[in-house]
Amino acid sequence: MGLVTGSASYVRYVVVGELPDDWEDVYPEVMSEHGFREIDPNGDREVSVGWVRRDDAFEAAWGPGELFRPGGAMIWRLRIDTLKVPATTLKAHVTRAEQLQMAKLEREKLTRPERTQIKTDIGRQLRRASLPRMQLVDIAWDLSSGEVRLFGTGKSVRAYFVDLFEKTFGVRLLALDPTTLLLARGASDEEIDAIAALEPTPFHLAMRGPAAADAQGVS
Amino acid sequence: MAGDVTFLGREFLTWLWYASEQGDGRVTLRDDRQVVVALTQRMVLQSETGEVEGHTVKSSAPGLAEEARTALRVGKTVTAARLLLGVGDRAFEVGFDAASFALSGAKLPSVMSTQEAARIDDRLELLAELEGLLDGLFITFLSTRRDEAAWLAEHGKIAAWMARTGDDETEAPF
Repeated sequence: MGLVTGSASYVRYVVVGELPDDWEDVYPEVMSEHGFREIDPNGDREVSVGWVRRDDAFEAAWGPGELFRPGGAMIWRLRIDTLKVPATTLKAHVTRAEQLQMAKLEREKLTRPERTQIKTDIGRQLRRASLPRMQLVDIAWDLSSGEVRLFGTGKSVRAYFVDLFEKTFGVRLLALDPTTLLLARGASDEEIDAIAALEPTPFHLAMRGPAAADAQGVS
Repeated sequence: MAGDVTFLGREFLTWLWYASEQGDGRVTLRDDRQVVVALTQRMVLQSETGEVEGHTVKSSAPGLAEEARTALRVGKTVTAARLLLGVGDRAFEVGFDAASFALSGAKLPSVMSTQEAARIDDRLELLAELEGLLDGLFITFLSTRRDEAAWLAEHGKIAAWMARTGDDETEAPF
């Protein structure tokens, strides 16, 4: 993970929007509202996403001093559970159940509705017998700089995180790039516009001589 | 406010590679701090269009590998690299992705705290220091990049550096 030990891998974001004056009271509440909820093995939902405490993956409530660090950072975790029976496992169990049913009915074939029912029943049985796959991703929000670090770089993790963060805190979250970095560092609109107007540099053409570069419009 | 400037991440890493091979690889930031930059372990080069297959160079000093310089000469730029950054008596090592600005496998100076909460605070400070160095390098690059005359001059130096072979500094056959 990298926040406490080992090497750290993470993506940086910039928060855009006004924070409430009473954020110290409000944020623990709204985070609990978007706290993690266990997947019901009897239901159909395959993925559940929510916030949990950094020191307890089963707790989505924060008391005084459990969310904010003295340096001004908020530390917590994103929990993503996935409860999905692998297709190969499901198919093997369904095939076996179909064979048993045909033997029981002394038939060589099952009707489509019978096969559908077996697949549904077996899928539910396997779901109830399975444990969800749990992902825990550390988050650090520096409230003074407005920058957020997500200690997970996978595409789906980033998408779940941004969606839940924006819903929870009512702000926009922009991934760091050349423009947002300048924004975060207090650059003026003029400076940002000047950067936005730049064109790529074809380094290899310039190496072949000014004529080649000019032909490609190298500045 | 803006067009697509994702190419700037690639140009930044390409410029860092060039800067790391000038003298002792020292870059002066706008706040006058000096950072010694080196590329290590792994570097990935790809064409701007992404149509041509990427080229990964693995070596203790990938920037010195002739295959890396050759990829640059045929129009590829650096899309990811592992950087060694030295400032004062501190050293950081980190992978940087030009497209997402994601940091990977960041190795930080050791922290002395044994309690988890204190370790987190210490490591967050070190991460902020590392980010300050990377941001400082990027802003230093941008200050040259957006100045037409300064970039033209820098660009010429980069072209001359590209034309030299990695080991004997002779002119490349272009």
